[in-house]
Amino acid sequence: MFRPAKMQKIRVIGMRRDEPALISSLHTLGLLEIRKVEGEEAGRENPLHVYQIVSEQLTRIRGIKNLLEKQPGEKENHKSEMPLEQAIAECGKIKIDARLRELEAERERIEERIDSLAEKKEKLAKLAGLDVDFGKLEAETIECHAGIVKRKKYEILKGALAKTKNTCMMKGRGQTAADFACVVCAPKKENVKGTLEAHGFEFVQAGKIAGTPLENIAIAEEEIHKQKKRLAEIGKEYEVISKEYYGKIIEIDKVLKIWEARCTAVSDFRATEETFILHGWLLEKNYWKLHEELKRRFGGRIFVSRIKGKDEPPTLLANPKPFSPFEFLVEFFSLPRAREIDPSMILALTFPILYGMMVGDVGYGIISLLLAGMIIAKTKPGMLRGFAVLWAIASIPSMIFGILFDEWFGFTFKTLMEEMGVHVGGSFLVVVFGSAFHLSRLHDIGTLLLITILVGVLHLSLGLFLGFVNEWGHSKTHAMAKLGWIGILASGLLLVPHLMFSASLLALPIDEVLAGGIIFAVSLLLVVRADGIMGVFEIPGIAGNALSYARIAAVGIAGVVVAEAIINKLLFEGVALPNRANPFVFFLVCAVVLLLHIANTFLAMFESLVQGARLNLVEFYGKFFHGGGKKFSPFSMEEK
Amino acid sequence: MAEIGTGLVAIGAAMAIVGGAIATGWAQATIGAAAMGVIAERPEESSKLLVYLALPETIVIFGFVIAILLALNTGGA
Repeated sequence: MFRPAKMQKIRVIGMRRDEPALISSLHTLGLLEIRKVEGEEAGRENPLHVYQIVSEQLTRIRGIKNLLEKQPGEKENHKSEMPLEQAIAECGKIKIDARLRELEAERERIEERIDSLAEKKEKLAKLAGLDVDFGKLEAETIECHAGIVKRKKYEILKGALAKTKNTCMMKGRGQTAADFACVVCAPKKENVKGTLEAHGFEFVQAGKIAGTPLENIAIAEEEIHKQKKRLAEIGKEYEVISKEYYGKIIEIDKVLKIWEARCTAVSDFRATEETFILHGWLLEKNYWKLHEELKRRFGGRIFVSRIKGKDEPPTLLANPKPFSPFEFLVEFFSLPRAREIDPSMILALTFPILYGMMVGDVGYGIISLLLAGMIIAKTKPGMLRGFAVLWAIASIPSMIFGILFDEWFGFTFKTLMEEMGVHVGGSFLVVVFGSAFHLSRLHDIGTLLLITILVGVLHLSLGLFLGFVNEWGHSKTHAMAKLGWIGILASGLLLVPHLMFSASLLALPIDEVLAGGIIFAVSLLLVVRADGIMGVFEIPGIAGNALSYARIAAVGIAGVVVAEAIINKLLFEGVALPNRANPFVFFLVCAVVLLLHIANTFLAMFESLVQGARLNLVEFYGKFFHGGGKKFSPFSMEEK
Repeated sequence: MAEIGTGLVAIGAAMAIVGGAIATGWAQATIGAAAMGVIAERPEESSKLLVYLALPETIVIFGFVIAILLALNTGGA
């Protein structure tokens, strides 16, 4: 229950002629994780003989699939019963490759042409104010430059060009009121380019132009229209082809993908001329199921046996369903090795408690439950949804701690009721939800700090006890050292609070100090026996671990300060209530108060998740967890 | 004289928090920069790196504990 599922390594031996049928059976059954066979007296097996044709057709079909458009209602992951031979025959019937290549090439050409025409049109638009036929300006000895010049620089440029012989400048309306569109013609030998550049002339290189810019713009627009029309025709042809072939293509793709996996899986086998061997891991409980199934399908031709050894098995977490959200948290950090403790069920207890202590507000618990519910409803399975499930679960202890701390959106229960106009006085509700267990996080900080560190000591002790269980099978000395660390924590618990809060050493209770001292000495002996003198240097480390739980108080207090002191006192009591007579201002401020509470809840959710996870993954895990397990991944047709 | 003492204790408590916060920020900046480099190469390690990024927060928590103890001993909390 607290361990990953038990795994069994097996060896399968059979005739090579049964290989394709066996690999298909294993793929369908989905029970076995195939591993590379090591240390057997046989050569490596080659992929199945159909691999080459499967691989070629798969590449071809994928290429076609990428070009076609997905059809509405077509499921990408539907199951196919099509045999491989039929799939390959169907591949032969699909002869659209050449046409698709032609269409694709034409589409690319047209898109490039449209881009180039649009660019030319944009440039010509800058010169649209020039009523000049550019075709008539062409001459062997003259060069013309078209471009834009600022109105304020125009006269200066004109003056500068006047100094050059046989130069002519024509101007027209610019694209903006501050510009002129110009064309300057001059003998090539005069080289007016430098003069133009010096006066901020912005050259417009629109390529070879025959006619006026406006005429050329019209020609470009017509050409773009024509090209777009052809593009639409190509799109329609794609649509017709997609409608006819897409469904078939994805079905074939699915079959070929399955067979590609089967063909390459045998590369992990070893083989002689007639026989093959494969190794793999499966759940121990599935050993006989596989054994019987292969016997039924192959008679006595396939031989299955267990392999004993110390190989590291893959890990499969197998907790009851209610605990599966916490498997996500375990996997998020690192999987346990197959033979160590699976902390999922322990995290299911400790994570919500630590989280709840940090959020600790009934209202915030309700908001976080609603927010988490929204995320779960709107998102697909993945990291965010995994965290949302944890938020939803942990919102319940948040509400319970909210009752213990008497925090309701930063108010006490009594104050909240009174602000809402419900007079509860000294009723039973106030006793249950308020003063009976009331520990104010804002005013009893010392007590809160002690409680959080006490929780830390208990949490660390649990981790050390799990470490003791983990180590017992490997090294009794190291297992006892874990108990020694629990003793050191217990002695610290007896001594440290007095040292922290007593005014003088003389006021220390001698009985507790003596008991603490004895426990400390015995525990230290156990630790030094296992870890040597280095164990002594670890004591500040474990004290630091325990003090680290003070973050529960720190995060909680930060949340309360924002909720109680800033949102409620400053905005609600300071601004909203004095303006009760003005409904607009009152409701506006109330809405702002609610939004700020939601924002504060979001901060509390995120911070409590990070800090709660950190306390579990760093302080707690460090006492027993090794990790580094490899996830059990059976050879299966199910999509991972 | 007692008021000056209380003020000094308050300054000491503030320094404990400020010093811890600066040290945490400094450490997290260094770890964060290194973590981003690792994530660029090996995105699958991001979950572990988040934990490393949260490690230095213990420094400011110690500052917080010290500040609370100082405040408690002077009746400030």
